Amino acid sequence: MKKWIIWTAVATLAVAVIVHIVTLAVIPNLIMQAAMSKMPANVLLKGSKTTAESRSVVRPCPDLVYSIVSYDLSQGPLLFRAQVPVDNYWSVAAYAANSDNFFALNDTQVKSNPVEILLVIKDVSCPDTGKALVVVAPGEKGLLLVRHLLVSDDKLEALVEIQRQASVSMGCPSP
Amino acid sequence: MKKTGEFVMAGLVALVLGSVIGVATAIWGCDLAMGATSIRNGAWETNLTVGSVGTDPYTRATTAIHFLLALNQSETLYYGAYRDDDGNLLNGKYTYRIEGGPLDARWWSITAYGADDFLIPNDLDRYSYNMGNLAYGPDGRYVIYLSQEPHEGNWLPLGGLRSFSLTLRLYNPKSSVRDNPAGVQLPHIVKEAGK
Repeated sequence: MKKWIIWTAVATLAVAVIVHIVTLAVIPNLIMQAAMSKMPANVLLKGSKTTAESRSVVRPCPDLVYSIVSYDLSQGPLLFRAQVPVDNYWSVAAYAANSDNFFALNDTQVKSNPVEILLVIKDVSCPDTGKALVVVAPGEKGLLLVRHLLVSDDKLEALVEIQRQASVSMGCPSP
Repeated sequence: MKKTGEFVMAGLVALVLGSVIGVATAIWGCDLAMGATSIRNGAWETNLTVGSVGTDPYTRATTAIHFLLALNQSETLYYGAYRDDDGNLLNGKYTYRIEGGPLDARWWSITAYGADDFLIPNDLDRYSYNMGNLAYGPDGRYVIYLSQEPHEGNWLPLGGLRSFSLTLRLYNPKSSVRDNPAGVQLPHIVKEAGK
């Protein structure tokens, strides 16, 4: 009887440790997967003004208008191209499948306008990247999120125009 | 045969009990680790590893649950507040004042969220105040009122919610903030007496 209790306690502890570690590793991936599954892959979705109806991602910022891409680099690189507003906060950030923010670039850091970002996975390269900033993603899937600051409602039209000009395409930049 | 049955039973107990303990301690560990690694500044707290690649598994899991797609601190500093200056949990049945001055960042804003981590629905569609749309006093300072009933001045409606929290975002914070996240002067959150 005593042996049975000791065996159960040891096995319970072992299972608890394994489940503990697995749970922590799985939570971010599951949540990201749930977010990505709501979007078509490699399509730039352009959101509108953030309101209480905006419920795709927790804690949205009401001062921002978002655009988002669920990227899948299994078929090749993704080229993101956008006009960057002058004197107004703008940023693009890339997230891995485990939710890590592995890249961010804001309007004050861009070297050319429009800006081009070539998202690739390790060991994949393009013969000619042109002006594009090459960013290596840690995995094939994740999210690319663009933030446009909406200073006031009367600036919404101009912001939407900037947002409209952004695009994504699969493959290397044309030489 | 009896012995085999006992070991199978023990295995099942270990599997079920171990799984429950494993999941429960992981969730509990997230809260504990976030609390331990967060930097406090008055009623506010921030975690400098939120969103970053090198963060620990607990912070990563908590970030995914409550702050998915947060920017890393080189781009934005996030402060959260779940309590007032006296350490009491924020409660929508009371009126609060957020009192402060300008913050040293390119852009900053204060937003109220419900317990579900989403914006609080209200007729005015007003969810936040930022450095650009606040009404300031002659001394350059501001007061934001948080309440269910309308209030003069900068008013953030709490809808009918009891439980809520605040997020202070500082986009491109200056070095005075980045280098001293625990000491920089942040807004006070004060519960109005008798309300």
